[in-house]
This record gives sequence, structure tokens and C-alpha cells, in this order.
Amino acid sequence: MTDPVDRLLAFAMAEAVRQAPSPPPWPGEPARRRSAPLLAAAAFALLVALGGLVYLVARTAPSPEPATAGPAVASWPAGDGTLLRGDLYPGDEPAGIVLAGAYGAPADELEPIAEPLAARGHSVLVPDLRGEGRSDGVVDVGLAPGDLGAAVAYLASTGVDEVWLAGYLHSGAAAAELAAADPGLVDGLILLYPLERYLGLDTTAALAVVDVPVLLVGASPAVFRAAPPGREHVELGARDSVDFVHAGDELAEAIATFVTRSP
Amino acid sequence: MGISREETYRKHAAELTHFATALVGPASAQDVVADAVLRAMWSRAWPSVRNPRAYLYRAVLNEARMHHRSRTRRVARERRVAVPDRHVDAEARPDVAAAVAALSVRQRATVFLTYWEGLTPGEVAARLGIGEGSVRRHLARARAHLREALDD
Repeated sequence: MTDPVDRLLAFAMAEAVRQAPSPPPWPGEPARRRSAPLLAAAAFALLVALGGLVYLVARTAPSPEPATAGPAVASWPAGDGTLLRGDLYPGDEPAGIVLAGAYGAPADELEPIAEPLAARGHSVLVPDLRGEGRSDGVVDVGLAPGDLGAAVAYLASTGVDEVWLAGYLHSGAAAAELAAADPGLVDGLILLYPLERYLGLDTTAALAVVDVPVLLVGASPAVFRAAPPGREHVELGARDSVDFVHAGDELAEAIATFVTRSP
Repeated sequence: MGISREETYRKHAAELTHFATALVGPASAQDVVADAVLRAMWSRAWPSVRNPRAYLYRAVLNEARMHHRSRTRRVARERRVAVPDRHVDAEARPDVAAAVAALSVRQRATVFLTYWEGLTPGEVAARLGIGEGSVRRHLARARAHLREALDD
């Protein structure tokens, strides 16, 4: 431990232990709960009352208030200095999400997913890919994983505690490649209709060496088999890889549940 | 089950309280430990838990995160200046105290287990039930944060 930061952290933890109070007394058993039928009846009554209230509010409210402020335009440099841009939805949940679209799908096309995620308190960064939308440079699939890494680093610099990487179609492949190449970078992957292979990118080969949690949406069986144990899979009814953004709220719920599951 | 809940608690109470102090500070550590132990030991999963020690550490971490979030919300609501529990001697090194207080709960958990208990990233991962990659990441971010804060 020659690094001063190591010494300071060790010192700070020793100080914490020095200041620790004595352990609390054995807390014993929790207080007995009320009987289950009574509890169920109370819960039912509450639900009915809430339902009525929601109905009344919905009837009288002139228009629903927007859940979140709109996104801000963010920009950050890629590894080679090219300036990339995207939509940043601010949030105060510890888990932030980079949501990368496919070629030909600009950031606002993923708004139906980004917005409900932001409404759940997550910071969301939706990048325009290199050479597309507001980003500089020219399209280069070989640089796609590294460009996602730059977006992840940028979102991490905004103060979020965790960064989860979601990629759609070929960006799903690029996300898997990035997580395989840089095991310490992201807290988990969300692959939306990931392509198994795309030019130099190979989703199945990459997933075989990934060790972070993986949520798959509309993935092929081969991709599912390649993903690490503990992977989860979501099917969005009859939605296909083009139409799925209209299931944005359902998808946002699944993603939010996945990234906030503790610890 | 050869060993009672109370015995298990007594065996780990001190180290759990140290851990909680590193996460939420001395003022709230006892509450966090007591709530976590109640929640963990009377959950349905408890009788089948293989590693009670790791399970209790995770319960304390979860409780600390909830505590941290509700405190954050309360402070925001009351529009007060947050005065987090100090984890180190504030008079001696106010900069270190502030930098450590600004770390996230998970980062502090990782730092505590690494620097106080001397666990390897793999052992921290097993104790907290998270991936080894996450542990390395939390550590790297915590160290980077501290370095940045102290360079200013």
C-alpha cells in the first residue's frame, strides 16, 4: 500500500471502526402481525379506496403532468477525439443506463423507452452513433464497442453509482463485445433484439466470457445459451424488433426492475 | 439447525456494527444492524441460508442503502444542508472525511471489506453476493473519487 489513496482509505475505515458504537441488543422476534384475513380485508378496502381516488383524479385532471423534464443534449469525446452527442435524461437513482440504438435509428426513436426509464428516476444517456444524428465522424462498426465505452464513461462522470449498458440490434452486439473486452466497465448488460453477428462483432462469442448480469429481450436461442448463468429473458408479447418501442413502458419496467434488484 | 438465531447474532454482532458504521456512520449504525437482523433472520429464506455471515452482511448493506435513500429524500424535502455522519476524524482530515462521505453506500461497503477486513475482490464479491467485476469497479471508482477530491 504505497499509494496515498490506499493509506487514506485504510485510515478512514480504521477510524470508522474506532467510532463504532457497541452492537445493538439482540432484537428478538418481530412484533406479531395481525391475522392474515384481517390484513387482506384491510388491503382490499385500501385498494378500492385508492382506485376510486385515482379514477376521480383521472376524471378531473385536465392533463397529466409530464413525469420528467425532457432530455438535455450531451456531448463527450470518443477514444479518437471524435465528438459524440446524445440525449441525457437526468435522474437520481444510483443506476444509470446507456441506451444505444441501431444504425438509422436516431436517439429520439428510443424516447418511448428512455422516457419511462427516466420517469422511474434513472439517468439515461441515448447516444447518437458515430456518423449519425448529431454525432461527428463517419459510421465505423469496428469502433462501435469503443464508442459505447466512451458513452459509459461519460454517464459515469455525471455522478451515477452504476452504469448499465443497453444496446439494440447491432448495438447489442457492440455492447456484448465491450463488456467482454473490458470486464470492469459496466454493471450489467441489457440486449434488445441483439444481432448474433454483425460484420466483425460476435455476440455469442463475446457473451461466453462476460461475467455481469445480462437481461435479454427478444434474443435468439443461441444468444440466450451463450449468456452467463443468471441471465434473464423477456418476451414482449407479439412485438418484433421494429415495433417493440411501442411496448416502451413494459420494457422500461422490466429494465428498471432488473437494474435495481439488490444488492 | 444446531445454533439459534440469537447465538448467530451474538457471534457476528460486533463485526456487523463495524460494517454498518462504515456505511452510515456511528449515529445510525445500531438501528441499521437491528433492522437488518430482524429482516434477515425472520425472512422465509433464513432456515435455508448456507452462509449466515454473508447473508447478514448483505442484509446490512441493503438496510444501509434504504437508510441512505430515505435520508437523502428527507434532506431534500426539508431543504436542509446535508450533514452526513462523519466517518473519520473530521478535525484531523476534513477533506478525507468529506470525500469518504460522498462515496456511495456500495462503494463504502467494498472499501470497508477491502481495507479493513483485508478481503480480496473475489472474497468481497462472495460476501456481498455481487460479481467480482462490480467489486473491482466500485473500488476503482472510490479510489478515483478520493484522488480527485484530494487533488482539488
